[in-house]
Amino acid sequence: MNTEPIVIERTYNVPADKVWQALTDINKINQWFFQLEDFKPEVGFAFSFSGNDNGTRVVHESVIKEVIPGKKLAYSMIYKDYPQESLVTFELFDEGDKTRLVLTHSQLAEIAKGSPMYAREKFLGGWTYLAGKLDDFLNK
Amino acid sequence: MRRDVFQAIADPTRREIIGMLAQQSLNLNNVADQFAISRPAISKHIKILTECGLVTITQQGRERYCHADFGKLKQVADWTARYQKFWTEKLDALGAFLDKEQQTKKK
Repeated sequence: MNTEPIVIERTYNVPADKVWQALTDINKINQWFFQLEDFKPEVGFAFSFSGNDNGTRVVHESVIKEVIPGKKLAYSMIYKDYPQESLVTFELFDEGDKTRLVLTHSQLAEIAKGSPMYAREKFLGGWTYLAGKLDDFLNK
Repeated sequence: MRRDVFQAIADPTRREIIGMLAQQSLNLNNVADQFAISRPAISKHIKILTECGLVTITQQGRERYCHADFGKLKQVADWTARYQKFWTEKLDALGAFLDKEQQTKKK
């Protein structure tokens, strides 16, 4: 059982502003991500999209949490039928005519807000404990 | 207020309750008897656990029985695998889009 955030890194052969536009311009978002009705790179802007999970339509709801133009975009994500808030962060690193993108998807959104270390330890302690219980249960 | 499994397990009393229910289903009074804190406090913890989907309650005669629901926990375990795949596909799609855009511009 893994509680570490998902981190995926990619390098694209275009300048950072191109990647930023692809992340924030509605006409471009619609071509690689999902069909959104509207999108504004502003803190507090809310949007939703339907993903597909093994044939089941799943609605995700998001609210933008942080915007540093050209560099960083973060939004919360809640999957409607499974209300576990998570945080998605796109960070762009300008490497001349290339751009390194680091995507981080963390379940620890709630924890990141508060007193981080304490909450994280508490959370991980809880998780380790429960994971053990789950293993016990499944192996009965 | 939104409830989730992580909130459920953040509290030590709730972890203990889940641990107990993992062994066997218990009625509310049995659960409360195991703790030094008040019955209403235990009821509140159980209410949160049910709202988080980790515990279900069934009425059996005059007793209300609490059961641990491990399906929910397993769902959380699958989380990482599911989104790893999701984002890998999306970032590939982003790369393909950026390439296409670049080529269109050059033409």
